[in-house]
Amino acid sequence: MRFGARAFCLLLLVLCSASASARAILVAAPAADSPLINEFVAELRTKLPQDQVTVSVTPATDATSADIIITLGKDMLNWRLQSGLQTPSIAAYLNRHALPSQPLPAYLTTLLANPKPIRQLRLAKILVPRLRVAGFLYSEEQSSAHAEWTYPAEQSDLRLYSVIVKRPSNLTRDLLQVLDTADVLIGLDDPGIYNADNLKTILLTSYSRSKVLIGPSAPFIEAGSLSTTYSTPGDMAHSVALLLQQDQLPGEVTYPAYFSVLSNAQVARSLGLPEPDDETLRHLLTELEQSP
Amino acid sequence: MSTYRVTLLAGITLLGLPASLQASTDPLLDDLELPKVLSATRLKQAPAEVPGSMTVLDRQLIRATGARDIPEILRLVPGMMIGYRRGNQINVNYHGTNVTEARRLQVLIDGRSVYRPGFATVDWAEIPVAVEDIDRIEVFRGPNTAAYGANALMGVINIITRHPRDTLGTTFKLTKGTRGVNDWLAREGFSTEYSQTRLTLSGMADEGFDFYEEPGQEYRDGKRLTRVNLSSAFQVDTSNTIEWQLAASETSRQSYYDYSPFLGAAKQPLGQFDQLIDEWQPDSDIRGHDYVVQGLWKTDLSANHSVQILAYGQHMERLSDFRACDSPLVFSPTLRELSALSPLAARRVSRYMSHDVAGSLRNYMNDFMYGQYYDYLGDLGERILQERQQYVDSEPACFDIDQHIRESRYHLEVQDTFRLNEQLRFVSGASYRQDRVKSETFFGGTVDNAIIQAFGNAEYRPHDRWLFQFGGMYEDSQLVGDAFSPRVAMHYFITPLHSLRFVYSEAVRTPDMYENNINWTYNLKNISGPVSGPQSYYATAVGPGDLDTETMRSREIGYNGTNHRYGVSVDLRVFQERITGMNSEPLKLTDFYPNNDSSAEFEGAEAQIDWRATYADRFRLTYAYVDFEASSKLDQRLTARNSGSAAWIRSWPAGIESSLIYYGADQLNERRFERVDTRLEKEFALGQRSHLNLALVLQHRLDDEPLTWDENRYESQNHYYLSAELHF
Repeated sequence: MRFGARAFCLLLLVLCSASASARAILVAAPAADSPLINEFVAELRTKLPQDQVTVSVTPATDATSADIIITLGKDMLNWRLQSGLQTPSIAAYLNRHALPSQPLPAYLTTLLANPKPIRQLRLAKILVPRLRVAGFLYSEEQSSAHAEWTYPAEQSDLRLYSVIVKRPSNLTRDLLQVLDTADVLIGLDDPGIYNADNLKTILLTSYSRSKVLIGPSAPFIEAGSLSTTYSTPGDMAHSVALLLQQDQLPGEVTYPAYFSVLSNAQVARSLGLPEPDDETLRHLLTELEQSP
Repeated sequence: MSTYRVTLLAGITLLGLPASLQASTDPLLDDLELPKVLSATRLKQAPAEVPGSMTVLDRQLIRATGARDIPEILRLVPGMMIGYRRGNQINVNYHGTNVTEARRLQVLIDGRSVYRPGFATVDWAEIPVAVEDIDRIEVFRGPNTAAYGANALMGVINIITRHPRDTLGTTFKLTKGTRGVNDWLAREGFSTEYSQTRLTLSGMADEGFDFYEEPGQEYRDGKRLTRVNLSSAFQVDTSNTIEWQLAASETSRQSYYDYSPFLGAAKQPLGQFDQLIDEWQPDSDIRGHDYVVQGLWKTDLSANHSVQILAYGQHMERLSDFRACDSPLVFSPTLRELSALSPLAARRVSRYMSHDVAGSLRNYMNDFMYGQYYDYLGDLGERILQERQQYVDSEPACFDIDQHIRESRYHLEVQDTFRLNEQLRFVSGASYRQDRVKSETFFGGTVDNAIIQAFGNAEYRPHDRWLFQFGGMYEDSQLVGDAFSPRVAMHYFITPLHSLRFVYSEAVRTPDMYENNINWTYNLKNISGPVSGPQSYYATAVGPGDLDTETMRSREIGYNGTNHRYGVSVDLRVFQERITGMNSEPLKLTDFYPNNDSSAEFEGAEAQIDWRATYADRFRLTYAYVDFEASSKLDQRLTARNSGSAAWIRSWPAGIESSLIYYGADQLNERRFERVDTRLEKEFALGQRSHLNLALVLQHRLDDEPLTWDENRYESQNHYYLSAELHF
């Protein structure tokens, strides 16, 4: 009954928006032709067939007539914030640490590209047996990011153990300290630590102690991280479309509703962990998010 | 060739590039270039895919044993027999064979063989590495010549030291306990942007067994050693690393008078000689020096292709010199003649004279020479009896002898790991080794040997459920000749983490220089006593030079499985091993007849279960049942039919760790062995990175048998030691 009512409302909503006149959606992109942007736009058009989606690399000239503006990346967000327009907007492809420090205007809804903390922790819990302590390394600039993990950790019944790397030369000792206590290392979108130079030390040290790295993002998986949640351009477009199907944009900083999982089967096998099946994991995590 | 090198260099340069690019975190730049760190060539083989039976003793287990030296840790390996010749001479054998020599196990430290080329043994008491610096010990149970070269006949013990980046900071450790235990360690680990280095100084001392056969008779079998190890790793760029090590150790081992006189004191003293020879019991302590230099270069040509080059040099010295006394008969040309004709006849004459045997010498020789008695030997014996009369009241002849041995080894090895695709992976390589042993007494100078090896292993996975591995090693040794050892393994995967394996392998052991090339006699110096005429020692042992390799054929069916939800991993196997062409002879100066006439067969089953029952508890069980048959009675003693261990390790709140381990073997050299070890450790945090750990280890023997040999006895069934470790 309840489900039926909900489905009916949703149908009504879709019908209303469909019956309403087509919206002009402007995608402000930093480049006209990149595989990621192309895929994102194509997917967005599929999900919003009734709307007029245009892409612009010079949005300043095209923005005035748009009903909704979607910015991709930091440069386009900066342009959007300086443009003075009040058009409802979505800022996508931003990492939390790249957000401006001043409060964001109410017309702006932000979709983060870095993985959602609770998803990463739940993923780690599924993959690593008897996980109790999740370990973190922060650079000094990003030490405030810690706050974002506290509540998700409580929710997933995990203890956090983190060390701030005050000097780059301390990285190895700090890492050892984390690995001594934690059962898993959670990678963060923190370029001061998770960069190509440090990656070898981080992965080899944790691997030699049979501890795995979760995250920080998809490109790290091939390098040797065990698994991560992330949003493909399709997931991101789908999530944007979902926001646009609502009456009003929430005007807050959120994570994409749709996501994928990417894992490194070789690393899992070598450590005697079951080979992760990415689709099953995604499904499992989605179910966990939907259950109250 | 030069084109290849250019391509290679270009490849390295290209692969080196991403390191200089900081990983950007703009999510729009999807083409983030990261080095593939845990590549197919770097990942360890999954436990369910290993072509044989493997026991990995990790840091937690090593620490939990509280062991001061490596052999005590190896009691956790199913089927491993640990025996003591004396307190400072430990013997580790897998499944069995000779109780005093462990000739058939390959032992590697970071890829460097510490198997002594001259004497086909491993000096466990003098291994130049501190237990605290060991990351893990991987024991390949069963023949593995195909991967580790000749002498990996019954198994391979691979000791892997901790990477210098794992031991940064300063550590001081002090251990004191009963039985004269007095160990120390000082370690400093430091790093620069691209390198990590560790310097470890350590020392160890104990008094060995308490008494020799009877209470009150102090056993001189203590040891004292000091070591220095320098280990460093340098990351040249993302795809190249260089690791190098320097090590040196100095050991002093107590030893009783190591000379058996031709004529000892008679049971019923006949005169002054018997009294003087009986009183002459100087010590023959052994001084050891070891020096090691080692380098390893690893390069990743691509994510699926890596090459490593290992080079090392090591030098070992075992020095022992003392003054010995014997009857002036040892210079008798008659005895010399008899000994050359039949060393056994010479031994019978010696025994007849010192044991007051009733009856005539001829009858005694005839009775105890098993059909090898001839009258001309009896004639010579009678003449020696006559000659002896003039020395009954004389002083013995005394002389300085030495048993110095210097061994050195240089080794260069190239190994190539290449993954063609998901289905096919190859490991191949070649090595060149030069062994040298130098000893006036044992070899009359220097013996050299050069060994070339080529090895390869192919892994083929045609299907998720099937894995086939084919391996082989070809070895050509200048002194012994060539040999090829193949291995075939087939895995069937019930699920990805549960496999059944079927393995057939052949392995060889090349005879060592001692067995094959000895030229053993004493060069006597500073001779005193009633000696005239030629002064050369009567006995000489000469190696045959044409000994053949020993061959093992092994078959095994095994199961390996991990259930990660319950934290259980299990390895089971049944095996049959047969060694033929074995040399089992005792090889003494007066009795040196090596041959390839013996054989041995082992059949049995082994189990190893590791269960992380809860977050804080780990249980581990091992058991081995070995049924054996050996043609030589010397090979029939060390094998325990039933042996095993049971361990419980627990982390308690407030930084307390405990372990309780039971070890049992129904007969080690015909003696029961049962011991329970407990270890209790408490960590006191002194700051974010500093801590003090206090640990107590208590070993309790559940039986009152001597250890391995009758003379190896302790005063008490309990042994304990306390250690304090400060880290900052």
